[in-house]
Amino acid sequence: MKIQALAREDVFRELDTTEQGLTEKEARKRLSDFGENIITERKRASRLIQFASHLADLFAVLLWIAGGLALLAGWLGNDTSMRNLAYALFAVIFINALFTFFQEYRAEKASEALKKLMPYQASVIRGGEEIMIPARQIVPGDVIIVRDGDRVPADARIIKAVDFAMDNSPLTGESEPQMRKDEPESGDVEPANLIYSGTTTVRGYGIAVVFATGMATEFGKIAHLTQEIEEAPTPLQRELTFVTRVITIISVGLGFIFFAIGESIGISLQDNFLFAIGIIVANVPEGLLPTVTLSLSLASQRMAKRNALIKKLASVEPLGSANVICTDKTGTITENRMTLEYIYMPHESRETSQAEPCELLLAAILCNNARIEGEKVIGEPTEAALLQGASSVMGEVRSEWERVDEIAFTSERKMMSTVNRKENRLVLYSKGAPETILAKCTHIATGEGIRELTDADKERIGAQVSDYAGRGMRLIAFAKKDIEGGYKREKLEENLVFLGIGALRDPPRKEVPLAVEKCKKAGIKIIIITGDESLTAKAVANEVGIAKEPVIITGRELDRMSKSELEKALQGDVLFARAAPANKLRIVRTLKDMGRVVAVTGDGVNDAPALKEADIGVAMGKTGTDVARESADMILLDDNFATIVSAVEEGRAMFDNIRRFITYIFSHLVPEMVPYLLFVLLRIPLALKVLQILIIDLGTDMAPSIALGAEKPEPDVMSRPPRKRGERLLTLPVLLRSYLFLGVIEAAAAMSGYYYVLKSGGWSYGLSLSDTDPLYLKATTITLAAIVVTQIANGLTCRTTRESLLKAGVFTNKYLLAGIAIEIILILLIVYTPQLQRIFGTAPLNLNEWLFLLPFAALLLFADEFRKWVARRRLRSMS
Amino acid sequence: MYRKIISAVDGSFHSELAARHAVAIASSLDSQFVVLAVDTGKVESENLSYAVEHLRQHAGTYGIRAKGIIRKGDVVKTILAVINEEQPDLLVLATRHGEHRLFVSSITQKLMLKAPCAMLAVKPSGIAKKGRSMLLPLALREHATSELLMLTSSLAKFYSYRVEILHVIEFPRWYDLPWIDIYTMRQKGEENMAPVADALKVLGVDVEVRVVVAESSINAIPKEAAIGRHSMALMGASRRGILKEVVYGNPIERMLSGILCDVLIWRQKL
Repeated sequence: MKIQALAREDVFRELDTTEQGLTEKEARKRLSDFGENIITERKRASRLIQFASHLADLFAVLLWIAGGLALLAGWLGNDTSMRNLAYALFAVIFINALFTFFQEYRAEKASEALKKLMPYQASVIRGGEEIMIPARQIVPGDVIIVRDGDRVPADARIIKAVDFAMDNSPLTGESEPQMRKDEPESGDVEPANLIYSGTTTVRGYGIAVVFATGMATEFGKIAHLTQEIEEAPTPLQRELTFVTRVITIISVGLGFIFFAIGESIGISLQDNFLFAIGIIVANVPEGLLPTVTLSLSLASQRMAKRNALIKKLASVEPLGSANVICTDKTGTITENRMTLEYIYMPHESRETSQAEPCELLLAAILCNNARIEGEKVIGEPTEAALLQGASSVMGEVRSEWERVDEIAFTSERKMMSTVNRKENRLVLYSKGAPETILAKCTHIATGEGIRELTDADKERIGAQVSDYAGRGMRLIAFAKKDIEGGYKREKLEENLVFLGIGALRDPPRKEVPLAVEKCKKAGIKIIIITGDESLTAKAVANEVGIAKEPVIITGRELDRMSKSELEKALQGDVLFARAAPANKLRIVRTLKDMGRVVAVTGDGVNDAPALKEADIGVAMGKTGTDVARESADMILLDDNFATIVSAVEEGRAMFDNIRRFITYIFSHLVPEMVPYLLFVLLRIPLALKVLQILIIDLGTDMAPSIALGAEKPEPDVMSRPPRKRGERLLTLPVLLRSYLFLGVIEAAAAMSGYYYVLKSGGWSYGLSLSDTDPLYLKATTITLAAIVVTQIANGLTCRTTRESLLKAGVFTNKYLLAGIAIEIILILLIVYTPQLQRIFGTAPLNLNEWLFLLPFAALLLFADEFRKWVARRRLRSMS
Repeated sequence: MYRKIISAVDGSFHSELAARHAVAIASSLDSQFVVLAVDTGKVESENLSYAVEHLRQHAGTYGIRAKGIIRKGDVVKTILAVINEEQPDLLVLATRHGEHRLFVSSITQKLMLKAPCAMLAVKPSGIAKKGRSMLLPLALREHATSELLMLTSSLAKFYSYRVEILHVIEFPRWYDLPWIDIYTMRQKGEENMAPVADALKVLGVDVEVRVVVAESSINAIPKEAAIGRHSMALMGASRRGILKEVVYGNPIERMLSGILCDVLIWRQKL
């Protein structure tokens, strides 16, 4: 038998305890059996070890090898510059590890958030006496007492409840207090006779028997879920691993082949080492990981400005591929602010804003326990809405009346009444569910005065109720009774006069319809999963344009549906009403099984499994619980649905931008590699030194690539269908464009510049040049300069893939212009300042040498413009 | 069919919780029930008598007349001797609290290797049951013997659990596969497990099949147990598997410690 279904005596028997509680001896034994009542934290690898693990990534291993070779070559040839190179490479490894660490870093605070919810002390009955003990010493079988304001220390079954109400919001997100009972319960609904650790008593008191402590509690399980479960790497992380592998194979393959060629044609070991280092350093895009991390970080800052807080940088990009958003209704689609929209007085309905002072509104103010304090209305949401709506028309009238008596609202009676006095007049005002109030009425107040309530009246009122309900309104009916002389309380709520109905609703947020439209254009499906009634949910879905006639499935219906039935329902327009968090998990799982990329919103602790299971878990920043926030990938600071859509837009833009800067970064690998190949194959003096490669990768190219990562979303970004699951970031066209097209032009520029300088300095093929020869220094400098100049053009052209740069506007990305300016300043410093000349082995270039390079930049721009034109034509002819 | 079930207790609450599962099975299958306590001198004999008596009473509330045995001696030898005398079909015991290594070098492991009858080792998580479902991880359809199905249905019916058959298809770097391949793998997995689900349905159990493609079951099973918020996981083990674990160490222990619900490890008779 389940604990919630047991009778009081059976609860004691099941938990092997008594009303007198456990004895101290038994409690000690159980403490050693079950352990302390604490949320334990998984011992995870320390931050230092996490960071250190990135020092052994594939890229890092490659660079360790290159650095090791440099050290060896330096030691063999007693060459300080080689040793310095080795240190530079080791520094690069640390820089890369640092950036990767930050990209994957995620503050794990879930268990801390939970710990804060656990009380320090708890009141228990042990050996027949009530004592206070540290909450961590509570054991299963302990009888606990919780009073108004107490935090519950462990999961327990109530055996005595006196007007006992709990704030379950940390667990379920429900803002209204939940009444707790002590009777056994069966059935599938969430039992009202259980209390959970971390929740707070708001009213009354209860005695309960603990059945789960520590990690076995609901909170413990959630903590376990958030900290233990490892998630699959995000598409971006997978792509980066893929890129790393491809590059490793290329580098190691080329390294071996050319090392062997070098050996066979008699190149010295020293030179061959240099070559191997060069090939590795040229192939590894040292700037890629820092650029990815910095761009993601910039994107997450942009998203934060739009109220979407990203928990882990790597989560930015998967957002762009979301094709289903499962969202709550209250607070996300709607404002989470009940408003009195209409009043109905027999037999006319009008908007509250156009209402005139009337007795119905007076009833709404007097039969109401909410109160206005300054700008705020304090009280239960429905009452607060009624008070605010009615006061806006009536003004301050409460002070004119004195409340004499109150018959409180109960869920059984579904109504409340107050007796109010003004001078000698004594009036009862009642409010409640329309059917309850109507059943108590014998008369009706109309424009012509009070008369008997007829069946025709009831029919008209019924029709109006159906109309309001169909529009998702919450309805409260009002009635009155003039009291002559004294009264008997039990007879008070009889023979009432029907005054009318107030229709309330939580209006949709203004931004939502536009966001919904954007989603539709972007091929993203929206599914509302709400705990609310079907009609309310449907009305909102209609109003904001999510679905006209959605199939409505309630939580209970969902429980009875087979997997295939649910899959079929999810193909069309569907809405889930009266749904529990467990339903949300099932919906998310089914959608994922159908191949969808799912973003889901949640606020309660109970939502944590669904948030964790979804591709993108979205928690509410304002109303959500800390635990939900910790389980999510993204937090909505304003709880607004439109913010999710903005985040998707940014995510999509990010994917495009990563492709942009990958194209940009990969292009320079070719001109960096070619000098080494020519060095081995044709014995041409090395045109580019290893340190010069590093200054391109981690110096001149960094600012423009980050700027490309900050490119604004293209206008059509939300008119395209979502990216397919598994679509590669690094596709063949991307690789071909950077390696075989842009890269080749850049290599041609670099080698032409090199040959131009050498030739004009009197060099001829076969002549050897010393490392310190001014001609040689100048020649390597022009190779470096050629790569930088062509990369400037490349940075501009990489902004678009098919669109003409002229149409996109050359000067529209200010970050890129700043990036290019930084790039120019850097290269000028490297070429013209003596200190940097010494470090990088450069020499000053003349104006004619710079001018020699410019046509190559223009060639690159025009050639790519031509390619874009061809691509556009092909696309047009295909469509 | 388990006609006779022995539950070994040591006076700890954990062993009582394990024995309660034995009562659940005995109640569903109408079996004879024997509570055995071995007095090794480490626990006061009064406590052992209380534990045995308490469980007999507990069994009595379900209409089971239980026999109580208290013997002095070495735990493993005494249990094996009683098994020899009583000839039970199933032995139920708890993995001792504080034993991080659930199998290796433990009493459970020794009995798993030596006890001739079927055996159920229980790692209890809490006292009361409030959940709605149990997990039945199955690597192969063939593992779902009629005995395991009977055991599953007896537990599911007693606790009114829905059963989720979890079939993990292990595939390295599955996330690089096209979705359609994953979908097809899952479909095939579901078809593969359908006869097991049907057999459980015939036994009157509400059952669902969940197929997951993952890098390893070691991570996937605890994840499913946590996300699905199951109250119990019933897992099969083979004697060969346990021997292998003794030699190579046991990754399953890591998995078991990651599952927060009650874990029942079942081994068929030798």
